[in-house]
Amino acid sequence: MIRTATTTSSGSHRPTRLVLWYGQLTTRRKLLRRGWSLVGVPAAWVVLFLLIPCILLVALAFCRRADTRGEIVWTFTLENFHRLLGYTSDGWSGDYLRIIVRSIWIALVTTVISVLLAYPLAFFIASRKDRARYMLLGLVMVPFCTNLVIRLSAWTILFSSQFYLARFAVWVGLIGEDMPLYPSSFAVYVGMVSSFLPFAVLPIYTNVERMDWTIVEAANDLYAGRWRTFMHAVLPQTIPGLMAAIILTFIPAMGTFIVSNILGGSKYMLVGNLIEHEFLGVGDLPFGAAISFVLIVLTIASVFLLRRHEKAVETA
Amino acid sequence: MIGKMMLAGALAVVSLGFTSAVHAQSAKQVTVYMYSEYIDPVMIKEFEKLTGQKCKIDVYENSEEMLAKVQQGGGDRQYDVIVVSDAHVPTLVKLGLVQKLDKGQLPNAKNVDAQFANPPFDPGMVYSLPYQWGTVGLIYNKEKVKGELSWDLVFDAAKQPGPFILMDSMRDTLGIGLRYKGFSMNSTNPAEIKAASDAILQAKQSGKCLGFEGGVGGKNRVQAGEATLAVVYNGDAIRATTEDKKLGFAVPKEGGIIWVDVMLIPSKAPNPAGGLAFMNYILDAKAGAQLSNFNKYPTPNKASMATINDEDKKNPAVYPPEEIMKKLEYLSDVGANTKLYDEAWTKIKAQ
Repeated sequence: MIRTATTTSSGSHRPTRLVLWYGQLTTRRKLLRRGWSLVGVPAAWVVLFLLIPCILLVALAFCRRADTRGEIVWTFTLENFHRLLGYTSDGWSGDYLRIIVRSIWIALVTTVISVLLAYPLAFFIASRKDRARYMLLGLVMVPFCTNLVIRLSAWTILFSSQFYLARFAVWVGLIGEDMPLYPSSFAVYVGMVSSFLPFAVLPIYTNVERMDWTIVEAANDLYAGRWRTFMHAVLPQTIPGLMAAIILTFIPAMGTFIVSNILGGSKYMLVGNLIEHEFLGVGDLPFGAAISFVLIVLTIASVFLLRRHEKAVETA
Repeated sequence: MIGKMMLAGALAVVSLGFTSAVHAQSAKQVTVYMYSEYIDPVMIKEFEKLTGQKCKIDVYENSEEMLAKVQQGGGDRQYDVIVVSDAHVPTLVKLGLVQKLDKGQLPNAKNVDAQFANPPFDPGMVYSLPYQWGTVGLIYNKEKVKGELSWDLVFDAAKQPGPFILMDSMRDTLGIGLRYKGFSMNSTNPAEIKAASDAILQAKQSGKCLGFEGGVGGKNRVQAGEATLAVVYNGDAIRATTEDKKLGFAVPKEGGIIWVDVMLIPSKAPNPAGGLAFMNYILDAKAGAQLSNFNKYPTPNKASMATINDEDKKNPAVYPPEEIMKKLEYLSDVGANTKLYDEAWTKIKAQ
C-alpha cells in the first residue's frame, strides 16, 4: 500500500516526496535503502559464489588443458565438446555419450520409483491423526540426520554375502554361490531410491495436506467412478507437489555418484564420476568444466520441459 | 592470462578468510602436510623437544585433494613440508611450487638407500627426499589361493579363484594391465594401452569382479571374506595380514608398481629452515625405524634397517625379494599423453 504525497518544507524550495508504506510515512530513498540492506547480502552472495563461478565455468569449458596437470591454456576451442560427442584420439567412440545416457536413465528410473512410492505414502501420512502424522513425518526425515555414506555402508552390510538377503538370492538362484548382492544395479537402485525418497515425500505431503476434499466429495456426488474421481478431482490438485517432487529427486539424482561408487562398486561411471575424475583424477579442468556445463544445460532443459508439460496438464 | 588472473582473483576472494589465519602463525612453527595416520604421534613430540619448534601436521586423504590445495588453494605458502607421491613431483617442480633443497642443512640425507638416491622423477634428489616407499600387489585369502601369485588370477577368467576387486586408480590399474601384457607401465603407445584396457575391461565384465575400490575398501572386503583377492597398496595389506593369519600379500611374479612418497619444501614456505630440520629428523636412523615400525611401510633409510622390527624385515610382503624388486617400476608423469590413459579408463568405466 503506497500512497505518495508532496509536501513543501518551509525553508527549502525542493519538495520531498513522502510515501505511505503500510501506514508508515517515509521517503522513497529510505525505502530503497532498507530494501537493499535486506537483499544486499544474499544478492552479493549469489553473485560472488554462484554467478561468477558459473561464468568462469562456462569460460573454462572452451579452454584447453596444458601439458602440466591442472594447468589451463586460455584460448577459445570447441574440442572439449567434440571430445564429449565421442571424437577421441582413436576415432569415434560412444563412451562419453553412454555415460551421459546412463546417468539420465538411472536418474529417471530413480525418480519414477521414488514418486510412485511417495505418492500413496504422502496420502497415508496426511490422513493419520496429528500425533501419528508427526511421528511418520519424523521417520521420513530421520535419514537426513545420518550421513549418506554411512547409510550406504549400512546397505553394504545388508547386501553382503554372509547376510540372509544374499543367501536367499543364492538359494533362489539369482546370484552365484558365495556372491554378495552388491555391486549390482539392483543395489544401486535400492540405494538411490532410499536416499531420494524423502525429497519426493515431503513436497507431495505438503500438497496433499492442503488439498480441497470438497472437490472429491462433489465428484462422488456426481457419480464419478474411482478412476475419474482420481483423475479429475485428486490428481490435478497434487500436480504442483508432484512436479516439485520430480524436480527435487531428478536433479540431485543426475549429479550423484557416491551411490554408484559404493553400491555399484565404481564399475560404471556416471556424469558425476566423470566430472570428479576430470577435475581431480586427471586434472583436465577445461574438459571437466565442459561436462559440468552440459549437465547444467541438460538439467535446465529437462526442468523447462517439465514445467511446460505441467502447464499443459493444468489447463487440460 | 587475464582469465587466469580472474580465476586467481576469485579464488583469492574465497580464501581471504583463511589466509589471515595463516599469516598469524609464528615463524617458529613447522607445518607439515601429509596423508592421514602417516606418522607416529610420539615422533612429533620428539621433534618438538629436539628442535624447540612447534610442529603441526595437516592431513589429506588423497593426493588429488593435496594437489588442488597446493596448486590452487594457497597451500604452497602455508606448509613447510609436503609429503606427496613420486608421480606428482615433476608437476610440482615444473610449476615452480617447490624449492631446491639446501643439502648442507641435511646431514642425514646420506642415510638414503642407494636404490632411492637417484630416482627417475627427481634425479639426484634435488627437490625431494624419500619418506616411505611401497608396492602395489594382491591381498589374498590363503585358503583359496595357493602357490606363486600371478596377475593371471585377476585377468585370466579360467584362473580367477573367486570374487576379486580392482583398484580404483587410473594409472595404477592401467599400469598393472600394461605389465600383465608385458609392456612398460608408462607406455605412450596407443596400441599397448588399448591392449591393457581391453584386458581390464574383460576382467571387470567377468561375473567375479566386485568392482573398483580405493583406499582400504579392497582390503576390508577380502578381510570380511567377501572377496578372495584385491589389488591394494602394501601398507594397507600388511596391517591386515599381521592381524589375520589367513590373509597374505605379495607382488605377483610379473612385477608391478613401486612408489615412493617424498618430502618437499614449497617455494613459498613460511619456515623453510624448520622444514629442512623436519626432513633431517625423519632421515635420522632411529626416527626412520620408528616411523616404519609404526606404519608398516618399508623405509628408504638404510641406516634405519638395523632397528626395524625383525618380523617386518623378514616379511617378503614388506620388503619384496630381490627378483621382484628388479621387476618393479615407478609410474611417471606422461604429460599430454595422460589423455590416452584417460580415454582408456573412461572406456573401462563406461562399458
